[in-house]
Amino acid sequence: MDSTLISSLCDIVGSDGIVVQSTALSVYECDGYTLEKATPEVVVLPRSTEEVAAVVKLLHKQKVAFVPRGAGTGLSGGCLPVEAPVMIGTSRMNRIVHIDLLDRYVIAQAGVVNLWVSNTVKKQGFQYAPDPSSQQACTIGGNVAENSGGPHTLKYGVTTNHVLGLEIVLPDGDVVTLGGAVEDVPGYDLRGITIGSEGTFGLVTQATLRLTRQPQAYRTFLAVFESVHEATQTVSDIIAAGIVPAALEMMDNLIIQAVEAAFRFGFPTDAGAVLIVELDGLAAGLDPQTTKIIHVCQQNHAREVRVARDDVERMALWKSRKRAFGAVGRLAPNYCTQDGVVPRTKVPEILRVITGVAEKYHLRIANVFHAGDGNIHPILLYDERNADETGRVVKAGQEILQACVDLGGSLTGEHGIGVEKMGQMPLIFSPEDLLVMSQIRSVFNPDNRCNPHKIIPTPHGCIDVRVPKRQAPL
Amino acid sequence: MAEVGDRQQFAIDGLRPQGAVYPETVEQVSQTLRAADEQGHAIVPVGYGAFLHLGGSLRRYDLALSLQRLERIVDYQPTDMTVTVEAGLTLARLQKILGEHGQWLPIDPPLPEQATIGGVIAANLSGPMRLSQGTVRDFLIGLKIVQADGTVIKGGGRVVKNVAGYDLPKLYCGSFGTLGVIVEATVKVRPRPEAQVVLSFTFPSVEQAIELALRLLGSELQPSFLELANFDLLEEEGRDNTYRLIVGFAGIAEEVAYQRARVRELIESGEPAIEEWQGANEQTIVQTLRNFPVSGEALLRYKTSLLPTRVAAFCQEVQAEAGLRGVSVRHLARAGNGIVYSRVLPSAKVSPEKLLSLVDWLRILTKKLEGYMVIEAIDPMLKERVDVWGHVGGAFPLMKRLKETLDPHGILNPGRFVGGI
Repeated sequence: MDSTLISSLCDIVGSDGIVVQSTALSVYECDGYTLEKATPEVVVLPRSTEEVAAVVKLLHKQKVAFVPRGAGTGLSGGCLPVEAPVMIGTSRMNRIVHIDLLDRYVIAQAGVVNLWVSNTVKKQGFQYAPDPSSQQACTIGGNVAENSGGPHTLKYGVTTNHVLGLEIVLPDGDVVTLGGAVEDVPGYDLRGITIGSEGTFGLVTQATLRLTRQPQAYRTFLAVFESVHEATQTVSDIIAAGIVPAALEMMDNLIIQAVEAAFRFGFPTDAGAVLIVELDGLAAGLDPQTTKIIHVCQQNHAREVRVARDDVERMALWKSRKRAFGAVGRLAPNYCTQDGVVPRTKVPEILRVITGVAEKYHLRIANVFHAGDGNIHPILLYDERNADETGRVVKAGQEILQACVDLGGSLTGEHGIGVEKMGQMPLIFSPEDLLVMSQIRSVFNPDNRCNPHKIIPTPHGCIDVRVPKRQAPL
Repeated sequence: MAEVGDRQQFAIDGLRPQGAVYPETVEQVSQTLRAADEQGHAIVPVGYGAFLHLGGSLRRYDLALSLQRLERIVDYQPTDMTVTVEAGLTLARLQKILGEHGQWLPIDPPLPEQATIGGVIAANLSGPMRLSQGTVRDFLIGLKIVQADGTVIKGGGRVVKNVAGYDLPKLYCGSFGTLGVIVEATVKVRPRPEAQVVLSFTFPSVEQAIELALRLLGSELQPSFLELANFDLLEEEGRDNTYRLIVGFAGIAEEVAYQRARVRELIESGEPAIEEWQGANEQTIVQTLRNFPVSGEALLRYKTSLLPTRVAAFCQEVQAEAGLRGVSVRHLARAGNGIVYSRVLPSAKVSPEKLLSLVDWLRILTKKLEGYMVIEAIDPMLKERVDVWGHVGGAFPLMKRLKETLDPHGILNPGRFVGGI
């Protein structure tokens, strides 16, 4: 790279905000999607919106492409620098700029870690509802880019339902505010279309986040079943009974064994499947719902329904769930996760498909997922040193996603398209649908130098996904 | 498909279209738009025409395209808690169908018998329940759109969680039919609440009313709505110096019972007594709250977006200024959301110039309070002299480019949206 460009970048962010050494750059070669790797030539770490704008303006003038990056916990290669020499990291933009508890919002810089927001307002009884499993590391900017979910989105909705406004640096360096702290801002909902755009519209520098009151009470259960089928039927029956739990998660036997070995929570390792069901809200309403849920579990032959005794036990249970992926390393040297979605009533069906696919390709597939939303995360276990097995994993994964689409679902519920699933976009979108998306991108990013080669497949796509490999929390 | 007889029904600000068409299929919508796009005819997508007063003055108006015959339920699986419907289905009919399965779409905009799903989405209409449930944006997961040139596209899907591709439904929600015609929508639905209770309090001043509103919002209670009015909801009589706070609780019977009792403990000594409404009175109050933005006679209707903590100052300043100007204003605020609907009552004493001067004054006030004001209804003669949407800010160039990209010949609702889009 042109050394005068680097020195100009240095002038903007200071020498401590520039990474150019190859050993240091290797940290930035991928996110949680580790199959594809690409190292940026320089990483720039601005501290403020003004610095981001100055950096982007300079790159725009010099026609240099760039990618934004948060904590690098993404799972689809959204921040992979593909033909983009400069990476702009938000790690030094980690201030909560404003807190207004009476009007229930905070303004956070893009690099603020998700969990910090809730921790900051916890004592006052508030929370930021979206809780991706990587919330101890992932950033607000990344959450906005991916429209992140989490276990509690079943009741509370995803990122887009909790972000009121955005400040974004457009690819030409202009700073624009979209939405704001007040509701119903006139004009097109540009905030809405920007959330989930995977960093292809510009670099979000700060977000106005809605705060939610912490619920007065929780009831958290662990329901143990002999089979996956009984557990998934229970999920459908709970929804059919008119109950919307805060979270409704399933883990199958393989995951139970891994999680138990890692965290020793006391999961029954011989169970076919467990459900984690959480109700929250006013204490007065929880008992009648608890009775109903226990009844539904028993009707589906639950072996046992355990209620978390206290907050400590509840937190331990959630820790086991949220870190389940970390435990999977115990099962196989490598694994690959899909993020398909099916209508809730099709969960038993898609699990039968997954079992069939596992048999057909002689693979072990573990399941831990957001059952209440129909958002599955089958984990395909393999050893990358075995080329034949690796090839079967690729085919099996594609077959599962195809089945999700055939059942009326989607390719991704919360991990994004990134580079990983670009090639599969035509399974759910027509050429006309994709054309509109690229036209909308051009409105924000006309030269496509901001996070190029993502989401929308092009005939000359330079990404060819060969081998899956995924080792990160979901 | 074309029926000329309804020209008057879909007149907007006195402007009548050359004709009205009622397509029965998506293909017919597509053909209509393709032809209009080729000939440069201006199209206004409508449902039953109940909300045509909203928006700026049209530059051109050739054809009203009513979606009211596209009213099928495309797919409804109650246990999936999602429903896909055609855009012309009225909200009331949808709620009836969902109600048969103990479910509903938890939004309550005005005039559900006339409001179509497509219209509710396009105009982002909402009601008192937005406090606890959110707006239609929060329930919308998929759309089918016919673009200006007749191309049919879709965004989102039919599953409740989906991040594949850009979130097009958000863009079209609230876009006022200026980017494409919504022909089909998929929304999430919820179980219908078992029980509801409506309480109210009458205060001598707006600050006291807001003080209690904020206290309730800061407590563990989860009001389904929280409204502030400067008039009597049963009589619809203005008593300019008293304010009513109307609180609803809905949900499981036990939750509602708990909240009903707990409110009494949160009231401080010296605060007014609780009135509880039941039966016909409760119905009337809920209807009045819901329909306020379109009911009664008015010289001017406007909607203001503010931070909830600024609502009291806004109401107070408007009230004082109205007094000086000899104008009578009714306010209904969604107190927890900071949305205030206002209506200037008819009076022979208020000249058009006086009204325009009030609009200017309101713009300055909302700007000072860091809010937005949208004029929802005004005499068509005056509409051209005010910018009903107000200043949109730095994002406007993006909005304009979006419009030019998606409707290059400017045939959809020309002039009706922000900045003359």
